[in-house]
Amino acid sequence: MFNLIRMNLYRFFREKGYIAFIITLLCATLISAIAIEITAESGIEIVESVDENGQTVYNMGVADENSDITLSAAAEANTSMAEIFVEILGSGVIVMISGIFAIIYSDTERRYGFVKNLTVRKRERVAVFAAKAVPVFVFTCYTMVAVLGGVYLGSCFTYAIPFGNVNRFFAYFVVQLFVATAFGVFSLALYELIRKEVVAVIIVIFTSLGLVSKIVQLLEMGLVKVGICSEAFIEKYEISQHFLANRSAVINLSDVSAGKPCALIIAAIGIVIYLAAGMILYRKKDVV
Amino acid sequence: MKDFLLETNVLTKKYGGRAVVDQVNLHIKKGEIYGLIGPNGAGKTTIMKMIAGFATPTEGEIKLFTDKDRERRIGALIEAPGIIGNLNGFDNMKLKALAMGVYDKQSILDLLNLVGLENDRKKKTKNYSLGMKQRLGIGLALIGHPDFLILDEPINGLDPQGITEVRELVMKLSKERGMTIMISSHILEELSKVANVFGIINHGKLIKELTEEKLKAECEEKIEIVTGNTDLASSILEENNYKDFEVVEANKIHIFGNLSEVPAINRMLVMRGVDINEIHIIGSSLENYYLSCIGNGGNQNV
Ligand SMILES: Nc1ncnc2c1ncn2[C@@H]1O[C@H](COP(=O)(O)OP(=O)(O)O)[C@@H](O)[C@H]1O
Ligand SMILES: [Mg+2]
Repeated sequence: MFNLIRMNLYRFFREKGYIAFIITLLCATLISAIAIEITAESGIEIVESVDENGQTVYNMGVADENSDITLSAAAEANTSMAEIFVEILGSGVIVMISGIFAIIYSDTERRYGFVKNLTVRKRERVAVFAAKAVPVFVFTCYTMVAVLGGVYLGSCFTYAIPFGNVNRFFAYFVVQLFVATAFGVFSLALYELIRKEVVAVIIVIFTSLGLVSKIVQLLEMGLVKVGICSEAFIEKYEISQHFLANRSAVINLSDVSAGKPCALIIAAIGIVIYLAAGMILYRKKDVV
Repeated sequence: MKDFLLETNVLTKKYGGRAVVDQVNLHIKKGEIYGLIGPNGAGKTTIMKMIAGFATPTEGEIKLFTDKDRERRIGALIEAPGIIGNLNGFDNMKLKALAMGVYDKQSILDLLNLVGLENDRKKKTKNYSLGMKQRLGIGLALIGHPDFLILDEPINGLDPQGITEVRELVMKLSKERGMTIMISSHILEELSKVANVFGIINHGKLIKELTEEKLKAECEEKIEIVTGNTDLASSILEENNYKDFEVVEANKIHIFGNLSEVPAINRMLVMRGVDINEIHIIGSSLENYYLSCIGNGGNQNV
C-alpha cells in the first residue's frame, strides 16, 4: 500500500497536466475574485437602492441609520476573503473538480493500459484502488489552496480586504476538503463501475450540481402524493441533505456542519462506503 | 508433471456465455520459449491475461510455481504496452518499480540499456516509435527480475528491423538469463525463428502442442503413400534400404528424403503387388502447415 501511494504521488507530480490545471484555476480564481471584489465595492449602493425602491420607503421611512448599519455589516462580510472563497467553492464547484480529477486520473491509467503494470495479485488490487484516494485528496487540497491564492492576489490587485475569521475559515477549509475528497472517492468508485470516461464525467457533473438530490426530492414528492409515506416522515429523514454534493454546497463559514450528522461525519462515512464499494468492484472485475 | 513450470487444466474463459478460451491444457517447461500461435480472435491474449493474473478464469486452473511467489516471477507485456504517454520512458519504468516496491535507479537504467532505450529515456513516450514503445513494454515486463516472461504479439506492427531487434532480445533473455518465455503471434513463420515449442490455438481451443523438431518434421517435404497394404509396403521398403519412413496411419506411409525417387518407389511397390492409391510429395511451408491445422476458415471467425 505504501509503495502504491508513493507511486501515485510520483505520478501525480510528474504528470504536469494536473499541476497546470491548478495553476490555470488560480488564474481563473484571480479574475473572478477581482470581479467579485469590484461588484462588492459598489454593492452597497445597489443594495441600498433596492431597499429604497422596495419596502423601506413605504413601511418605515425613517430607519435610515439602522439599515445603513446592517447593510455595511453585510457588505463587510461579503468582502472578506473567506467569504469570497466560500462563494467560489460552494455551489458544487469543488466537488465537481475533485470528481472530474478522480475520473481523469483513473481513466489515464486504464486508457494507456498502465494499470497492467500495477499488480496482478487479486488481494493487492484492492490497494491499487484505495491508493488512488491519496492523489485525489492532494489534488483537492491544492485546488483549494490555489483558489485561496487567487482570492488573495485578487485583493492585492483591487483593494485590501480583511481575511475574515481565521478559525472559521480553517474549519470550513478542512470540512470542505474532506467532503470534496469523499466525493472524489465516490467518483473513483463510479469510474470503476462504468469504466467509461465521458459517461462518468457527465454523471459527476450532474451529481455535483445537485441533480441527484432534485431527483430524490421529486421521488419523495411522488411518494407523498401516492400516499406511501407522510410528509413528516420525509422531512424527518431528509435523505438528500446527506448527499455529499449537497453538503458541500450548504456548509458555510458560520455553519460548517449544516445539519445532522455533521458534514465531517458524512464525509467520513462517504469515504468508507465508496472506498469499500470501489475496492470490491476493483477486485471483482478483470483488470483488463 | 514436476518439470513443467506452467500447466493449465481445462482453462476456460467465457464472455457473455461464449467460451473464448475453451478447456485449454497448456504445458510449458522451464527454460522453454513457448510460442502460442493462432489467428486473430483465437484467444491468445485472453489465455495470457489469465496466466498473468489480469483476468479471472471462468473455469479450470493455472498451476505455476508455488502460488505464493507466482506474481513476482511473472513479467508480462500483453497487447499494447501499458505506458503513460505524458511521461518519459524512465518515469514509466520508475512508476512500476515504485508500485512493486523494488525501485532502484541503477537497475532501471540497466534494463533501459538492455532494451536499447538508454538514450531515449528522457523523451516523452508518446513521441516514441511503435518499436520503442514495444521495447519499453518489454523493459517494464522485466522489472523485478521475473523468471517467466509473457509477450503477447510483441512484433505486431513492427518494421523488419524492429522485428529483428525484438527477436534478438528474446533470444538473449532466454540464453543469458535462462528465462522461460511465452510468446504469441499470428505469424508462424516469425514465431518459428524464436520458439522451441509451439501451441496452436483456434476458436479458443488448443489444437496441437508440438516441439520444434516435431514441427520441422511435420513441415518437411516427404513422400506420402496411401495404400491398403502398409505391412507389405513397409517390408519392401526396408528390403530396399529405405530406412527413414514411418507408418503414420493405417493406410499411410511417409518416406523422408529421397524426394526424387517417387517413380522408382512407385514402380517397385506395384511390381511386388502393393496396390497404390496415391503417391505424392506433401508438406511445404510452415504457413501451409499452420493453415491446415486451423483450417483455412480460421481467419474469418473473429
Ligand atoms: N473483455 C472482453 N469481452 C468480450 N469479449 C472479449 C473480451 N476480450 C476478448 N474478447 C473476445 O474473445 C475472443 C478472443 O480474443 P483474444 O484473446 O484477444 O484473441 P487473440 O489475442 O488471439 O487475437 C475474441 O473474439 C474477442 O472478441
Ligand atoms: Mg491478441
